[in-house]
Amino acid sequence: MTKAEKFYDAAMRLPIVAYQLFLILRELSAIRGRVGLHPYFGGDWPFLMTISARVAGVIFISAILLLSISRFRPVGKYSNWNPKITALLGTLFTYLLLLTPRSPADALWDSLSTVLILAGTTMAIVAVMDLGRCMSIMPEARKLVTGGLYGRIRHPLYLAEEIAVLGFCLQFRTWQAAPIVIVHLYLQIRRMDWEEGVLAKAFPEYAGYRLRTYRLVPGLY
Amino acid sequence: MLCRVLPILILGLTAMLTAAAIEYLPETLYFPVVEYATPEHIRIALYKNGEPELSACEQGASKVAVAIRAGCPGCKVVERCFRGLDAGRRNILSREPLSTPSVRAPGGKLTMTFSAVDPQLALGVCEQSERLSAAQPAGQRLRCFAALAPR
Repeated sequence: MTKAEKFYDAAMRLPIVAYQLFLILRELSAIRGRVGLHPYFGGDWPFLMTISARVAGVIFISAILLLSISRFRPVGKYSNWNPKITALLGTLFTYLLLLTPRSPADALWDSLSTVLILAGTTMAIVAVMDLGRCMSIMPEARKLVTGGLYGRIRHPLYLAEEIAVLGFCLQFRTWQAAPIVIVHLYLQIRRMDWEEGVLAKAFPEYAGYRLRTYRLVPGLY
Repeated sequence: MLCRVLPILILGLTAMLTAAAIEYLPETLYFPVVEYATPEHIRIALYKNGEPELSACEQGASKVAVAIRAGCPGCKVVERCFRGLDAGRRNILSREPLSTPSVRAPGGKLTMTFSAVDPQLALGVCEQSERLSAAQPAGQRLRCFAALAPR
């Protein structure tokens, strides 16, 4: 890896890592404030669910942060900025949700949120274990992975992320959340297009893989 | 194998971190406490929820103390801020029954305890606080709990 490539790699990771660290610290501070606002200890189910939903959110962001730090260097990538910006926005845009006001705590919504975020986190970790260090934020080809979850769908990591995003949305339930999620979904679909493009260019066997797998939801899409 | 264990591990981690947050984060917060004694020798202690900053805690405690002094010029008022909660204060803010009458606002924003040589007098003041708050919006109404009653 040349110095310029190393610099590019670090420069691409730095804003993402900084942004995610900022959100983690912000969420931890919010959890601290929440605990202080509710000085009941033990046996209060809605309170426990609110805190666990927030903790699940921190675990998800931390997992994505850690997983995006270690990865292989790419063997193929786009040279223009459009796919890179789409990828960066696709990753970071959804976290804008965390900067908008949350709806009042609700045991049912918070429980569902916890379940979805944890399911998304678990699936993301399994997908990343399948990927090994081939995971990347930018649409880059590192190695073609077709085993594990990738044997069923082509973008399990995105599916995992969307499950977690849905979980986050349940904590917000506000009009501000809707456009953020719609734009995020659009960016993610564009991101999948770019990724499939770069993988198809780098790996001739990708065409066959694409024919025998669904993109995101088995049997549907 | 790991795929089967992973959800349990993540669930366990969430439960552990949630418990740790509830148990230990209050130790990093400042809790305003205002204690006052009326000329009739009724001792009242007022506990508010925790604040992340000491200045916010002191401001909150001072605001309450000023209001009490204005309404009860003969009362001796002491306002303080405690970092964290000792076992006694934690018990007061919890759902555990107390040895004295107490009132609490919905959501635990405010808890007050009442003690006097005559326990009936303390309970009377507690019930009076509940009655007086009945005209307030639902979120600010106080509920009185007798000594040793489940809260």
